[in-house]
Amino acid sequence: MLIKDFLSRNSAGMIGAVLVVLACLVGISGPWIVPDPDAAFQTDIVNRLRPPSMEAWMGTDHLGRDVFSRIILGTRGALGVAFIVVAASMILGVTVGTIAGYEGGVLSAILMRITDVFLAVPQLILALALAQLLKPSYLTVVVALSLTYWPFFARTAYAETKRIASGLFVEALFSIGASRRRILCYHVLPNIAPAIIVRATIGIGFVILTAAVLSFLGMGAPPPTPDWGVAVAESRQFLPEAWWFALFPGIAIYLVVLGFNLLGDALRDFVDPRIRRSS
Amino acid sequence: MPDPIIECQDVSVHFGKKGVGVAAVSEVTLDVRENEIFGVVGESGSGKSTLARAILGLQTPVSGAISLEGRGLDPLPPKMARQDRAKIQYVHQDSGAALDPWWSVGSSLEEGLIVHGVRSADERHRRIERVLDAVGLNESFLDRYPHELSGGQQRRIGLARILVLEPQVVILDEPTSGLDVSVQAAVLNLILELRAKLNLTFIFISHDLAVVHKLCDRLAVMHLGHVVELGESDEVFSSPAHPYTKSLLDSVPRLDGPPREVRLRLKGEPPKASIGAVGCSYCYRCPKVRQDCSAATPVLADIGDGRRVACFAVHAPAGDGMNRG
Repeated sequence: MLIKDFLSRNSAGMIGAVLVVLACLVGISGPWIVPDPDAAFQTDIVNRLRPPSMEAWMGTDHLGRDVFSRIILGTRGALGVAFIVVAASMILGVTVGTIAGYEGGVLSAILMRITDVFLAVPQLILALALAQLLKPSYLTVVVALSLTYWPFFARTAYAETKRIASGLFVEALFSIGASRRRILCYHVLPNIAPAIIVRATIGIGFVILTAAVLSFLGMGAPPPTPDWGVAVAESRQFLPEAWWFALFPGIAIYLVVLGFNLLGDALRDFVDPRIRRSS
Repeated sequence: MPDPIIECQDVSVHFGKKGVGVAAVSEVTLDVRENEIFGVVGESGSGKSTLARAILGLQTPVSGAISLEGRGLDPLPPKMARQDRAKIQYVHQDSGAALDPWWSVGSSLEEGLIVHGVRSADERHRRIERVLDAVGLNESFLDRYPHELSGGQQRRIGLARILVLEPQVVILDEPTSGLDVSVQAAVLNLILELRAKLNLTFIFISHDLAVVHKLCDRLAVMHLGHVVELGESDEVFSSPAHPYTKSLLDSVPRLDGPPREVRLRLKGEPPKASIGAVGCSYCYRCPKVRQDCSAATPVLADIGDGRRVACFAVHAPAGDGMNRG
């Protein structure tokens, strides 16, 4: 009922939802729906940099691998990284933000100043620095992005918790003697959940983009892995002739990020029109 | 005379620092007797709610003592004070907003019992059933959410939520504000009924004088943190002694009959109560102000029949040498 209501009112959100569902399906079923699994990995120098044709819909890359197959297989990695990063930063950020928002005082000030320090450093630079310290891999991307994305959740959770905690029902609970843990876990968390879910949805799109940038710069998955960012990076030397090599992975990134952003924006408007946009 | 169940002795609550802060409650002394409905009346900002919070233990007084059934209540930090004072409970003015919007009424009612350590689910349900019956609602309300209740139902649930905890003293904060007159009457009758049925004592905070007159046995009139008059409700209403009480009663609008002869009219906003201020808090607005009013703070003194008033003009009527200033 609610879902139908939401989608019928917002066509952009509808497009976003379709894109997100599609991306998730491709991500889950990737290895089974890919037309030719071998073509995604096997080097075929004779057929390198072939333009799109009936055999290879999106052409082949500089090693003769099928671009389309590699995009399909790259979906799982991109989404997987994004979900893990958002989940990890959500757990850390919401914990910090909720405690800071509810407690107030010195503890709150310390927690939020730490958050501000992380927020003040440009995200990509911090992620690059962290990635540089570790070996390039998906794990590196996950750690680097989680460490840079949690402050956004902390800020949202902090503001929402402050709003909820000043509400009458929290005071009423306190006055009947409810413990802090009870108030936070059973009352504050469910009430801030809508704002957190909205932030997470927009965050997934954002993380996919940043992860692609890290891959592009060589901090992400090592080369044989089918990865969108790596594909765009490798294609640079063959532009503009082999346009398909860069264009199609780019479109994949674009569509998935667009999908999550549209869905997130629509969710935000649906849940609470007053929540401001802040990246 | 029934025993006092709550006694406040010179209770003061200050906010902020000396000089810049506000004395929200200044040396309030009063007693609430068992099974009575005790009214606390005053304008917004007169310290009614702060006094209630001090009695509840949510606000630590800077001085003074509060006791429950003769047992002195230690000035503990709010969290521990609330455990210590479980027998005193508070019903919020806006009962709807005092319920978590994500929780059904039933869960909210049960939660209080869980917090108070009632382990057995059967016992919890029995108590909820009994209280729902007492406030005139049936079990079909348990599955509803706060926004699905009408204003009157919200007040009943707000009361029920406190009554399942089996308190002795219930502080009601403006329980009738924002309700239709017919619903108001129902809520007031419910309060009278509950008092008789459950042997409760109520502290009734309100600025609605008509309601206070109808409901309360005794009342205290507060002005800028001071209790200026205290006594039997009927007597205070028929012959108010303090100039502020008079002007409060005169400022009630009347629709029936000829306009009331205005004895005293209240003018302007109430001034701010700063910490350490000397003189009667009402002297800036009082039509009977005298020289000594700003020189010292009048204390609440007995003028007979258990009536207590804090006013120099009442204690020593004019004509004994002290003229108007």
